[in-house]
Amino acid sequence: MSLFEFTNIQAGYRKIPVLDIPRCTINTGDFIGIIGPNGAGKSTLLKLLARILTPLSGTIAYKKQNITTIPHTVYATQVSSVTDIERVLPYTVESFIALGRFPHATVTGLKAHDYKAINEAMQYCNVQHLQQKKLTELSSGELQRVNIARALAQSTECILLDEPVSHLDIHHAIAIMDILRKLNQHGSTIIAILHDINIASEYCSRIIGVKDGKIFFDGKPQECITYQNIEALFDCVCLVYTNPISGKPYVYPVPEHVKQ
Amino acid sequence: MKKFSIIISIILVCTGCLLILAIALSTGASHITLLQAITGTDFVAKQIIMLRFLRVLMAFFVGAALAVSGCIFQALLKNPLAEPYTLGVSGGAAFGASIAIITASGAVSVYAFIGGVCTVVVIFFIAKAMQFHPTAIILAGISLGFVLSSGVLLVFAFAKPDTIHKTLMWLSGDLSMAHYEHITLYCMSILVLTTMTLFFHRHLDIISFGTGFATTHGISTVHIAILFWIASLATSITVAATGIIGFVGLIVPHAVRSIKANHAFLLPVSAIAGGTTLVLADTIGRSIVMPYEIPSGIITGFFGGIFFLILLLTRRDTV
Repeated sequence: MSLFEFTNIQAGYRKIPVLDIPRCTINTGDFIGIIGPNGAGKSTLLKLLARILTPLSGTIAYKKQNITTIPHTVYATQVSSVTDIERVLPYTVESFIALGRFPHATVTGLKAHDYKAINEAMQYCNVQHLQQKKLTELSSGELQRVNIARALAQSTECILLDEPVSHLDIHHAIAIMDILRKLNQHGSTIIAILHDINIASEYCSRIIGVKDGKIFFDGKPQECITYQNIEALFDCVCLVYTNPISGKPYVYPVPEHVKQ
Repeated sequence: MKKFSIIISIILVCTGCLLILAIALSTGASHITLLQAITGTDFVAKQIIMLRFLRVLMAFFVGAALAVSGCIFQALLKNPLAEPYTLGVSGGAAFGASIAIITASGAVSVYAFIGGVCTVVVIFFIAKAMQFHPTAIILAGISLGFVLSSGVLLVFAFAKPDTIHKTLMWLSGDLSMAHYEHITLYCMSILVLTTMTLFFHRHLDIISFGTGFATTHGISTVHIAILFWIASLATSITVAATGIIGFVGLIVPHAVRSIKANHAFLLPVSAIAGGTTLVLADTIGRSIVMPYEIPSGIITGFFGGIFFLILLLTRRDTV
């Protein structure tokens, strides 16, 4: 079933389009990794889905309904997003995760089922032991898990993530990606911008390569992570092998071969 | 254990506030204490205490209004240096008031209120055009503030010296010049506005984490506009009533935030703390050089600045 449907989308800033997607469908249950060079339009694409940005032209449908006709509070109960927190304020982890329930209880305040969702989200991301700590006291890995827990408390239907593992070491990155995989297996649609092609290849069911504001390729990792595609996408030279355990492709960069 | 310490600190703060209020009521040019007025039968003593009570009430509401507006602006503008006057409300009010005083039109508060609200309207439309981008709003407010303060200086250039002194006293925030006949109206409107903010405490929590964060949690520009107007109106009314009392709106939310950042706590506690701070400042202002009075704005600026520096040096993590 299609969750999002793009039709003739043009999007950008100050009326200058930087992203052009004539047609694209995202299905329920997809685990999408968006890859591509810096400035290609990946974040713009994610902002459209998060409704932080409105397209210059064209329509996006969410569950067959035009996205602009859905009130923001209703949309926020279905689609949650994880981006770097602009200002890390000294809130406790518990009260920060509780903010995720805001769209569900704008007027009434939190009820029993809200607290249940908060607790479940904390368990899922393994952050219960941090409950009483302040956000300012957490490490990057902990903060990212807490941020994901907040998004889960908000909605597990569809989660958008902007570079969730970029500044984390391999251990913490894998921990986060494992949480996302588990969520996806339980039916969540995950859409993540990833800079690590190998992590994207390993975890995602579908890879979308974005370059110069256009979708460059779109498909299963085994099909589209080829040296031809990756070299053309990033203007570099690389080797692509297959991970003997998972059967997924992985990429080795070749030094000193950046094409200007 | 942590909950216990919070309860203890709340009890301590409340006792401290009540003590300050009692001291404020017992201090003044004539030596009558609160106890004498309550237990005694002296009619004049009761009258004097009543007058002091009005003044203390005014100071409390002014302080509370400024502190709550400060909380809201710091959240909306995502800037710890934001305060009720960041958007130029004070400049507009000062311009209005100085025209009223210098032309001897009488209704200083009305002119100041009109000046303040006009500035808010201008800033609101600028902010809307900029999609409520915090930095852009702050810059617009500061620019407008400069335009208006040069307007005030221009008015000064044409004014008689004695009216300039009167205007300067007004500009430094003087509770003795407040119009006590309108105190009920003032207190009621501040009470309504500050109570309204309590319904938005979770909105403010979310807004303070960032613009994108707010949008993805279902906060629309309507919510932001409502909060903007509540804070701006409270500021404009307050400035019109008492002149420009600085620093309460900046330091009080800051100091309270170092205890707990959630707005469910921050808003009411800032209101109480802001009110008490200004009562204290006003009491100091009218008792250190009796029978003369120092405008409370000068006291809050002086002691507030020193207090803020101490806070900055001791608790670096909160700023």
